[in-house]
Amino acid sequence: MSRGLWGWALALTTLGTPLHAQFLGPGAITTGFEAQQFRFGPVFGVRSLRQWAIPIAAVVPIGRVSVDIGSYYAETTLERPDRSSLTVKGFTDTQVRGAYVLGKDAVVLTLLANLPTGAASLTAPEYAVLAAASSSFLSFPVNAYGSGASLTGGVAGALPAGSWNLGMAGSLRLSDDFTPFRDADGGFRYQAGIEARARLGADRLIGSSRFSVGLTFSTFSDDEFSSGAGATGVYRPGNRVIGEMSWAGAVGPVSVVGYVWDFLRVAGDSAGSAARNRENVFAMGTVIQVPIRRTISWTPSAEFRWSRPEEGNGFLFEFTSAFRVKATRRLSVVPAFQLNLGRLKEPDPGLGHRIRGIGFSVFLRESF
Amino acid sequence: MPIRRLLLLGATFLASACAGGMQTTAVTPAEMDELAREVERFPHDADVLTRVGIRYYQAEAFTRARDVLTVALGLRPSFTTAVYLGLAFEGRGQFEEAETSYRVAGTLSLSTEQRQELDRRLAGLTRSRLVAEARSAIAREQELSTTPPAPNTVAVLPWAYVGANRRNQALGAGVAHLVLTDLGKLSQLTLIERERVSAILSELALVGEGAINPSTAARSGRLMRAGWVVAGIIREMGNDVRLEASVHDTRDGTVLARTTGTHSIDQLFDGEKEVVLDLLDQLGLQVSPAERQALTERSTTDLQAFLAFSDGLAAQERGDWGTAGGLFALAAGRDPAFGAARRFGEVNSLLLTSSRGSPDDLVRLANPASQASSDARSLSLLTALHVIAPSTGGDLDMRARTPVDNPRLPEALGQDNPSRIAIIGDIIIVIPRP
Repeated sequence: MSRGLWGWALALTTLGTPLHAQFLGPGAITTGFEAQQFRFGPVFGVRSLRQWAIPIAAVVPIGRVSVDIGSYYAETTLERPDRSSLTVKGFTDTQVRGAYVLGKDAVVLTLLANLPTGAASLTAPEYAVLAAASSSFLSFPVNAYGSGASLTGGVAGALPAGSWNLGMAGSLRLSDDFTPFRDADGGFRYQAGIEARARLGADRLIGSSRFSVGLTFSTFSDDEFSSGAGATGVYRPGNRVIGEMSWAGAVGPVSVVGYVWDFLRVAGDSAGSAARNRENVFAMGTVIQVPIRRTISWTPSAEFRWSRPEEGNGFLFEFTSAFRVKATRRLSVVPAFQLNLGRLKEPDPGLGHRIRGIGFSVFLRESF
Repeated sequence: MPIRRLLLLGATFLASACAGGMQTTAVTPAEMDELAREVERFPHDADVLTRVGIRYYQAEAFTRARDVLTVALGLRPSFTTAVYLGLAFEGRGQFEEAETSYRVAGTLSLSTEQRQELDRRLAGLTRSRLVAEARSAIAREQELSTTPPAPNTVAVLPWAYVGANRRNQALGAGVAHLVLTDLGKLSQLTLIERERVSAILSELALVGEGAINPSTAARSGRLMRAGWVVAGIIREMGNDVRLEASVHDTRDGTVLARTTGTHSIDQLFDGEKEVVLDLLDQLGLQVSPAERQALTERSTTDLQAFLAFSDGLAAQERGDWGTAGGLFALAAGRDPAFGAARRFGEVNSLLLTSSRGSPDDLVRLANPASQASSDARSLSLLTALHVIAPSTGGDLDMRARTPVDNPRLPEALGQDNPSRIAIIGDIIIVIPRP
């Protein structure tokens, strides 16, 4: 339900530590502040879209089980050209996940419960604000406040194959129905179908660098929904595939990561009619980590995203400058600043609009 | 961070990384200064010190590498640091210290591949160390001749074979192994290991020289700091073999004990036991009942298996690890209870792979980039965990940006298309009628 602004930068900083420690290592509490705003061209129907969020997360190891819990408090605002705006604020759902490690990182079993603590029963216009922020292309920190209760069980395994390491994973998600918003007819109930997800990954060393590829496939049973007036419908989501590739290496004291991914969603259909919601988002980028002092490193990054949905299109450049500061032996602080430049083309009448974005975040992580 | 420093370190890293981990690249004076400044600026940062130490090692500045990596290892034990410290010690010819470093590396949590490569390096290093020690001993022979040997320390030299049957020529190595094994069962004796004996004899060019005379035996014993040396001859006479054994005092070469025994070749194992017991009696050594019981135990009763094993030992002494491996496997195959054949086979396979002499594979595994992804399986699992069950709490530090978990309702409503943001300001729900 959430997407981080500085995920790759933070991922990079974790590479220096034994990764299995993240399953069975020390616990940690993470919080902070994230803010992101996009402003659109003068003739676009929306002047700006902005969000700030406070993440609250904890990881607690209990024997061979690692339990983590996390949620956000977020405020999302959509501003129209006439400067009128609509804001939605509140907590998101809370996720509790347990991961049990079998052997020495050979297999991980996981169970994830999504607790419906997030905002629900909003007004239809309020939900529209959240829908606008759910875009994969804009990548806000919080892309949904509430999705209803769900339970996800999964298993992941990895094994060496020659000079490659192969990883396989699969999961099933069962969801309860929920009421995302209410309109004049009453509550709109949505029952998501079962989701099955599988992932194949492989990585290997090439010289002194590491190369990895991954492919994720998701498929779904039908979603059902009904309005307060008694009308019902079925939505059949299209399958989706994510292909990803990354390279991580070092140049002297500087660590470098390069990555590319593509998210393809086949169009779904509602009662036999194509929903015309095929989506394809392509991204490529790089993250560099430069040690400045013993306790400080600078992590600049750049990413290019290209959205090619069924209607319209858009591209976005994102430049980030983050610092990782080890304030004390246990406390790490990661402030970051972000700029976005891009363009969106509407499906009809086909006008292009510029996008300017700005973002700021600071994460605090205390290990224990 | 000064750009010059980045460029400098970057260029040198690329030079070494592109050419492979073990390629040496010279350090320019400017880079040497820069590395020294790095150490001064971050004297307590194990990562920086390890990186600098590796660079020194790659430039064959082994002493500087040793100094910096020793500090780094003290600050935070890691496989990379311990391995490169071992390599730096090796570069300086400090094999014992290198062995200690590798053993420190071996105490860490390692992958199977890392552990196997470390074992290979240790096996090869032991050989290098013994050769270096043998050369050192020969160089200090004058000094050692005046130093009293360690008490109750015994070296067993390979026995000579005298006979016409080429098939049995390796029996000398095999019988010496049996004697060494039996003497090792006595708590009051300290045995010089076979590899050390072999290294000394090799340096004295006495391998395969046949019977060793008392003065040569004493000399080799002194070089090993042994008090006694056991030497022997196997004479094959028709269907019988005659075992002649003697124990020499290394100080003056005098014979302390001597025995002979003739048996049919089928009774070779009985003959060896009698010889050992006779020598112990003559030396006046007290053998406890438990030790006497242990002395009756046999590694194998299969003569053909023992012959193959003996051939394997002889091949090992020639440095023919490939042939030795096959012979040990043959011996173990004929007699599965022949534990020594199996153990020697395992050690031999390490020696075989380490005989290439290059630490490239170990360096590859100890490479920081490799370590950064050292537990690649963990990384695979962590990534998989993010994908199959994304969670705010667990993924906050490990979030890939791929849209693995988008809400489905905006998608169903066609509202997650960024190009349509401007027209979804007011939600429009159209529920299709079934």
